[in-house]
Amino acid sequence: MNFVAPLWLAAAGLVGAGVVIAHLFRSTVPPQDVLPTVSFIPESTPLTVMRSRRVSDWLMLVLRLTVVALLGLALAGAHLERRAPSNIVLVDASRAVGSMPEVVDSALNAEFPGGKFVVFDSAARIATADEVRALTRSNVRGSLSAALVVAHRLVGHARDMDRTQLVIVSPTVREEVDSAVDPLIDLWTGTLKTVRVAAARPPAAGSWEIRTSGDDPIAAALAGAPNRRVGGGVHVVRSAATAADSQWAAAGGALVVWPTNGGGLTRRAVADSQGGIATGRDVVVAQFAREFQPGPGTALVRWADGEPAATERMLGSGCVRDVAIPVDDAGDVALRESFRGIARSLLSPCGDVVNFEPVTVPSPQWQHFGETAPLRTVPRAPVDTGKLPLLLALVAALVLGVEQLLRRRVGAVT
Amino acid sequence: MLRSSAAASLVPYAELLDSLNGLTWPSQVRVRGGDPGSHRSNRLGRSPEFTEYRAYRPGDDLRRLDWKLLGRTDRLFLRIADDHAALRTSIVVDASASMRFPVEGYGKWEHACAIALGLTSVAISDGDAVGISVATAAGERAIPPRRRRDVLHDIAELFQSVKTGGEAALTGVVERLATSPRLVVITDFLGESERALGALRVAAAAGAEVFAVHVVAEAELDPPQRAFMASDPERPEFRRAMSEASRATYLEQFATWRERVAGELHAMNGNYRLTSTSEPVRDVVRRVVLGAAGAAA
Repeated sequence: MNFVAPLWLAAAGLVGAGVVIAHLFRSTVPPQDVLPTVSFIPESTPLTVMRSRRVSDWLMLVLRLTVVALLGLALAGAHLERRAPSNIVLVDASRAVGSMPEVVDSALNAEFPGGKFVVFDSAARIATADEVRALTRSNVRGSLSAALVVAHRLVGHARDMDRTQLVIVSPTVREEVDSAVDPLIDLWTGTLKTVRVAAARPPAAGSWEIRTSGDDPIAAALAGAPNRRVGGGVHVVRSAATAADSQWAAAGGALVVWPTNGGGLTRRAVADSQGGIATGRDVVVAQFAREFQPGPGTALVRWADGEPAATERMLGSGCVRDVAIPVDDAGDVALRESFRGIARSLLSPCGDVVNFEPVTVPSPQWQHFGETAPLRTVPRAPVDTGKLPLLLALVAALVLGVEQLLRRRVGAVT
Repeated sequence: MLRSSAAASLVPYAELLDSLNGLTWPSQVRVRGGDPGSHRSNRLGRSPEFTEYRAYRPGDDLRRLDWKLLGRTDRLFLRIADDHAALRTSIVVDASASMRFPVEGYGKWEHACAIALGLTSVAISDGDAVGISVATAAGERAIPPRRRRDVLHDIAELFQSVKTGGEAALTGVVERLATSPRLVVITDFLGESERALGALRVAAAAGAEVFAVHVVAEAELDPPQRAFMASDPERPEFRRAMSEASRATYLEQFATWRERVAGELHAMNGNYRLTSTSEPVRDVVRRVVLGAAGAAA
């Protein structure tokens, strides 16, 4: 058991000693009697105090010492400390993994007695060694931050967190790293080690086609994209989608609805303008009029204020992507490389945009990838004592109630 | 014929009543005319008991002229004779919780009841109508004024049926009887002494003969020497510790208060008699009525 403020224990000890001393002085109230003329008696202290060598009223003494001890423990912030695991191995099982046996072998070699496995893809969970051995690769995007959160929960606020080694077995590609990864790694006070495994080969870009009329800026933006051919797996339509389009998408195609005049999209209650759009990879800084909003679904592109500008929703075996980004025919926005990157990302097959590009150094912490990072001095988080002090205080109140009850029953102040 | 239960209720007082035979309780002043009785009336009547002659003044009743004297002396004199009237007496007994002290045995309540019966007996012997009012916490219990002697039995039964306790509405009863020609209050004056004295002051101002019999217990005058926590029977939550140190102050304050109550009664021309439970009731009654006789003389 540990304490946040041990000084309170010393204070409780002093009070307890005082209680014991008080029990060596027996003070009693004289016997009661009726006297109608009591109002003529001057006010005075009714107690008669006698000193004794023996402790009076053992039961009351024990109860009072119990109350003092419980309150002392509660005020001292007593809490039971959890022991952190010796190491935590984060095992990547997302679609970014090139060879799952390699990942499993690396993970099993990294773990040592007292360690824990955290398997993650888009979500993370604690796993046993047997479960790790039986792992198969999933087809969803990995989330390293989800795994780091589980790792932090495993160590909690254990005082020996410094001794816990964090091992990341992952190809650590860009799509797995979000903005929460950096702060989560900064909070880790133990050692950090990464075992980089081979990443999966990115899926080959599918064939695509665009249905438009006249000179269209989106057609210009996509002009350099490979595999353009009629009957491709991705259809970009610059008008409202027809029933035939939806039927085609439900059969397994990826339908990108990017109407020139917002046809088929929901008009916003208030039209405004935004200073840019962004994906996880590309950012376009330009003024866009925002009159429409895409349908519900996974955000693929976001406005500068965070609202989705393009979404993807599943439809049958395929998907439909609503794009509410207006492009001015007269400007050169569509020809910028960043905009072309965003436009090409929308040509991916259904199921999110795949980005298996290895992570470049997003924070100083990652500079130590491939080796054991040194211990860092990170301010310790406040100790979470849990509910134990509150529980102790409640028990103290309960015992105090019993003491009061007994005192009234006895009818004498001792 | 008296009912057997009624007769039995007087048995404890038989010796007292015997000892009071022949005692009279004259009025201190001439009473207002009314039923014939033993007290000198403020009316000059035509009774055979001659008192004096007085020279005729215009306006006097010619029927009261002494014609024989007129014939002998040729002067006009009125023959004056005293009239006698009865004096209605109201006795108020306090039945508050403080009167039930000492709790066991003969206490202030029993003492007050015996005094009330003794005074009733003397007053009835004088031919006066006597009414009893007992002020209890539940209200007033009363027997209206009667001149018959068997009212003693009713009063004794009333006392037996009364249960003391709580805070009695003594002041209200005294205020209601303020117009009574003779008003006797038997109480310990605890609880609401100021208001009770105020009501007695009103009665005295209205012309009543006011008698206050202040009953105290021997244990109040001389509390036990040991230390104890005293509580008020009317307010049990009111408690104070009696000890050697506080005892002297208590005695002093209690005596001062009694003197103040006596002074208040004397100031309103009332009669104040302090009695403790150790004093024989016969002596208390004698002091009350003879004191009045002395004043009348």
